[in-house]
Amino acid sequence: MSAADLAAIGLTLQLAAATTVVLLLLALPLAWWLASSSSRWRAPVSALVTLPLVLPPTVLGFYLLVLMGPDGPLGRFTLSMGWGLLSFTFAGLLIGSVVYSLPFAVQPLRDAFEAMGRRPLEVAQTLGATPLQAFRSVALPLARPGLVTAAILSFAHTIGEFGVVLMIGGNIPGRTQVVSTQIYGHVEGMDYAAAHGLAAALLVFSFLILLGLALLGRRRMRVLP
Amino acid sequence: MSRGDFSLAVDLCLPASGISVVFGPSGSGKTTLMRAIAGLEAAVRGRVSMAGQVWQDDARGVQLPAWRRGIGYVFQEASLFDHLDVADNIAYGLRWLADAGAARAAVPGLHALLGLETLLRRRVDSLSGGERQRVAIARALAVQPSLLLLDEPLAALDFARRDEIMGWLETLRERTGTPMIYVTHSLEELARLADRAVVVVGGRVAACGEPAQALLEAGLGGAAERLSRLRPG
Repeated sequence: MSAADLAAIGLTLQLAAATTVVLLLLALPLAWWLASSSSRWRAPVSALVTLPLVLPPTVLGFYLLVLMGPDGPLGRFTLSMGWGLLSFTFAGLLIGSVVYSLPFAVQPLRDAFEAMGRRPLEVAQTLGATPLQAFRSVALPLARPGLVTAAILSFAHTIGEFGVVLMIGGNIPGRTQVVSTQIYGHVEGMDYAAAHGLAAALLVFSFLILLGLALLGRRRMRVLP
Repeated sequence: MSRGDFSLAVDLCLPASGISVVFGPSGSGKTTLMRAIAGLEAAVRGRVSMAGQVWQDDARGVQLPAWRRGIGYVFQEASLFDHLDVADNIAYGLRWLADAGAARAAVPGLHALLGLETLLRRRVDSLSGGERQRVAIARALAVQPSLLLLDEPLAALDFARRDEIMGWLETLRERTGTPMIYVTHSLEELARLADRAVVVVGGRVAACGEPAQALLEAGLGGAAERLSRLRPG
């Protein structure tokens, strides 16, 4: 593998790790709210969170690019703060990845919270726990399988993303070039051998992730009554 | 409180000892009444006080949340925490007590009282239905509540397990001074456990007092007769 390939792998892993952390922090309260709220805003918010599942990544990437551009609200804000523009930067890629993988983090957590229901929290409250204490000491541990699934899916999905990354970050070596865009670059340059190396690595990685999830699901089936 | 066609309007004053059994058919509002006492039913308006301490008084804007009422609540399906073993389930509430010293010291006695010593390190999903309810009762009692609420705790159990748990509850009544409110629609449980009965029908208290007398007052003469045959002595 070339130095550029290794740099792309490093950047991809950094991006996936940062995206996973940010996503879990965002998805936890969001999934909890979606699972337990009876607000009339629940359905529109749920649809909005799920949107990246059905939208072509290029559409999502395009609108994010417009948002982050000099005439977009986010771009104007970052310029006014003296941070420059986010497009074609790692921070821009991170925002795009978070939006793109949001449903993969929210849905497993939402399923876990919905399966749990409100009863464990009510029990905890009758035993003296405040709602926040009950959430930390009961809801979070009980939702751990959902949390693990959300983390694995977020990480894996970010590793494999292409369209959004290309639209927001371009394919700048060392700055925004990730594994998927590097493969694209190799294919465009007719370097199929190099493309094979990276593509095969992604293929094996994705298979291992899905195998791990399947084994995790089987273990959960054995543990639950 | 009102919900659709159903409304619950209850005016009750229960003694602070023994077992008061709230008896009535399914859908009569028994569980809603228990949840209102526990502070779990936000829609309820009214006044709830326990031994002089006001838990809820909407006229004065008082609403003590469930976690500050110092109650124990045993739900129909035990609702144990699957991520904790038996001992940790029982000890769960101690961590939230301001001064847990006395309560912590009393826990081994509670294990013994409910016959749980051999189960302490077991996972809760390996327990039988009866064992699960004993753990739920121990967990509720571990925080030394001023009132123990039991909402149809035997409804999901078979006859043998029901008999077993009723035996434990009779022991608890004799050995602890904790007043209990016990919800059921079973005449057998009423006969065996009740020091007094509150008969609830259609969201209203139809009668309250000595069990057979309360059933008679509520117009349930047949049930009163069967109760007299079931009640020992």
